[in-house]
Amino acid sequence: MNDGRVLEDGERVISPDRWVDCYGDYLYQYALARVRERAVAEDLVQDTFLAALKSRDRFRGQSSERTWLVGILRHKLFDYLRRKAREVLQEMDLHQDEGSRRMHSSGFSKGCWIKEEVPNDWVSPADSLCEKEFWMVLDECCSKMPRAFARVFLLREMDGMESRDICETLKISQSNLWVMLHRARLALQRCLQSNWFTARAREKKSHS
Amino acid sequence: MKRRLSEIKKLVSPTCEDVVRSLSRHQEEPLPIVRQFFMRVHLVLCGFCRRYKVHLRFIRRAMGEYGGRLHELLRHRLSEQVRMRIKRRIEEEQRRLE
Repeated sequence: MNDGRVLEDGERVISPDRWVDCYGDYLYQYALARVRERAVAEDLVQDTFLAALKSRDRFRGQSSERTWLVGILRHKLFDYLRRKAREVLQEMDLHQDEGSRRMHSSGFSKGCWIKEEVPNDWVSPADSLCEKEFWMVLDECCSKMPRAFARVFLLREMDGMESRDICETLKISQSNLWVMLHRARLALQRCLQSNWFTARAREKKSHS
Repeated sequence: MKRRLSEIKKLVSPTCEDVVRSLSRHQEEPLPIVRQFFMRVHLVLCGFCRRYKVHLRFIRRAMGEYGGRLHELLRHRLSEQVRMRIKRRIEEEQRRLE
């Protein structure tokens, strides 16, 4: 086992033997948060390390080693997302009525919220941001969302990537992106409502 | 002609479904002024869509924070089995590259 090497500016980098222990979990969480599939995230981490081995000599320490690995992981991630986006667009009918499960699809109330599906009054939502359980629920809701929508939604909202950049990177049209973001938002709104806000309101009521 | 009429109807009197879709799109880029105007008229009249609008704003804020604090908020770890597998692959690849 070698102990890593020292770069020109004196900064030490870790030996590849220890990469998994030092950076594995960080990269895994990074990937998992964006692809929402364990096996895929694991493969992305492995591919990142293997690609990093090949380009290791070129790493000069302009950034930390972890940042450098995250950069490689992002490349791998975008390759994967681009492949998936194309598959999804082929399989899915994007023009199907997306809100139909929450809105009336015919009759006098066509296009109106179904009674059981209306947005409730979320009580002091900002307070939720301070509660650890809220983040677990949000994380679960993101995992439960249809994955195809979740993947673009997470790039948009979690990474704050601009719509135009997402379209260019994933090679999808703007209108397709809008439909996917819209459906993801509808799904997340419903999930947070039933699993967090309604549940919490009920809990408070039973305490008082 | 019929299609044109239904487009105009959709514009001047959007349903909740139209408005919910518009709200999402409006987060990406500003809607055309006319469409925005009729959406706002709907929002004045419809409490549910008004709530949805507030919820979308909250979701954006929460997601931004979630992204920034991901590694502090959650602890997803590689399983021991996968850890070993990746380590083995790295060793093999190192030997191959030497």
